[in-house]
Amino acid sequence: PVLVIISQEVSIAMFALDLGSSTNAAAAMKKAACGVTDARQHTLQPTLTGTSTLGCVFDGGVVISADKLGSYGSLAKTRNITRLFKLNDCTVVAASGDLADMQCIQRALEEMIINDTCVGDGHVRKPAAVHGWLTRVLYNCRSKFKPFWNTFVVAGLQDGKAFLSYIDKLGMSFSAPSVSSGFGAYLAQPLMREAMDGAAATGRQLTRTEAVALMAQCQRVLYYRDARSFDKYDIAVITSAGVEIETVDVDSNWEVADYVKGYI
Amino acid sequence: NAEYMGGHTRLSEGYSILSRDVERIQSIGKNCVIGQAGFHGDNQFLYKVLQTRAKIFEFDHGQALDCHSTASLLSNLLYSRRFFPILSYCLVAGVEQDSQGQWKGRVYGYDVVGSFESRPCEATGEAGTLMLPLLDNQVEFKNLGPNAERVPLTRERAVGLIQDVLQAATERDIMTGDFGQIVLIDKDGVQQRRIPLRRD
Repeated sequence: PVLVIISQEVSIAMFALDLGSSTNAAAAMKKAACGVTDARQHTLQPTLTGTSTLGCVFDGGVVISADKLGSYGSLAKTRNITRLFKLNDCTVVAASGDLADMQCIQRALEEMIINDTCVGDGHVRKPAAVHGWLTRVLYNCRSKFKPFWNTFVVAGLQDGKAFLSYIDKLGMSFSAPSVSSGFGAYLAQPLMREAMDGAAATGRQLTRTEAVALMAQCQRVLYYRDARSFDKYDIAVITSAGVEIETVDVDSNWEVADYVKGYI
Repeated sequence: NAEYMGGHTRLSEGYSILSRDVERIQSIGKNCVIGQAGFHGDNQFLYKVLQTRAKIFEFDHGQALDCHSTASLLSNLLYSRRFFPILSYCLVAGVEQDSQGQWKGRVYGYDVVGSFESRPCEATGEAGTLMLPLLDNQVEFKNLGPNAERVPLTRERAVGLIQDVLQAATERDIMTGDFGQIVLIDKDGVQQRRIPLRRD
């Protein structure tokens, strides 16, 4: 059991009373209480986090995916978080890292889009514009030592051409045909590059079906090997026809568990 | 009467390759390019500021920034952040006309807080120390014995030298590779080409 007292005087102080049985949550809170008592330092540590986001370009569009888990340290706390959000018919943004920071940025972006609609001149905010805005905001906030602790992936169609970019919490950004944040950079990026280089060797790009299957394979590998991942993910496909987002379950096979000594 | 600048296109973070296709050499004005190594976020920021200042200069003075002015501007921009440095290791290269109207190539090397110097050749970045000795030997003919042939640097030889130097750096530095971006600056402007480098 954990008792939390928040006082609103000069600083925020958190107390965790560990009454013998330490759960993961208690351990996490206690660690946070010991390390972070200064209100300013709360910006230098993520709290509820999302793991990898993946994206790849195919012939005719872009596909990005992110799983639906919000992790509170090692606790799998919220299992239906949407880390992927559609801005308009040509732009989707996905985020990993601190989910409160993600939601703050999400609200600001959605407000921008609503303003665009209200202006009513037919202009839509395209992915390169969103990318530029996000990069500058993240860079300037990190320069004030109040970073948004997120890695964003911006995907969409820029003037009919596929656009996929990555922006990290330091405001460093780049565009690439396949991107992944977090653990995905180690586990999924090689798989994506192999598939895309294989297609490029025969002078073509991935088809939509291949790209979606590649996402499924990468999410499966991440579910097997990333300890902070989940078996349900959102996948967004952006083509000239618009944005399609759906939630997919990871198709995982645990029969090998029977052969592992020590497993039940 | 011309300058060559070479750079690679790999963006890495720790032991990961983030992108194989990030160009580090960009132009400022008509006869000048800036190559940037270091923190990519700061590079992007610095280039935006420099580009904006160059545009403002053109609007105010009716002519483009020339090479030594760009170099001086960059030094001031970097020093203005003396106590929170822009972690960008820059090289400015370009051609400019001297008092007799002859076009001369110039290279300026910087540190992160803006101290700069014009030199015959310069290399910067993670693999800068790998490339500089070879350049010193072949461009400035340093450490050659008295009987060694000092081949003058023509354009063809300069391109070959830049390619060799990039390949050499790629062999030994893990952060260098993928593609080499080679830029030629002369009085007619800027031309670019790419060479493949090792992808490991």
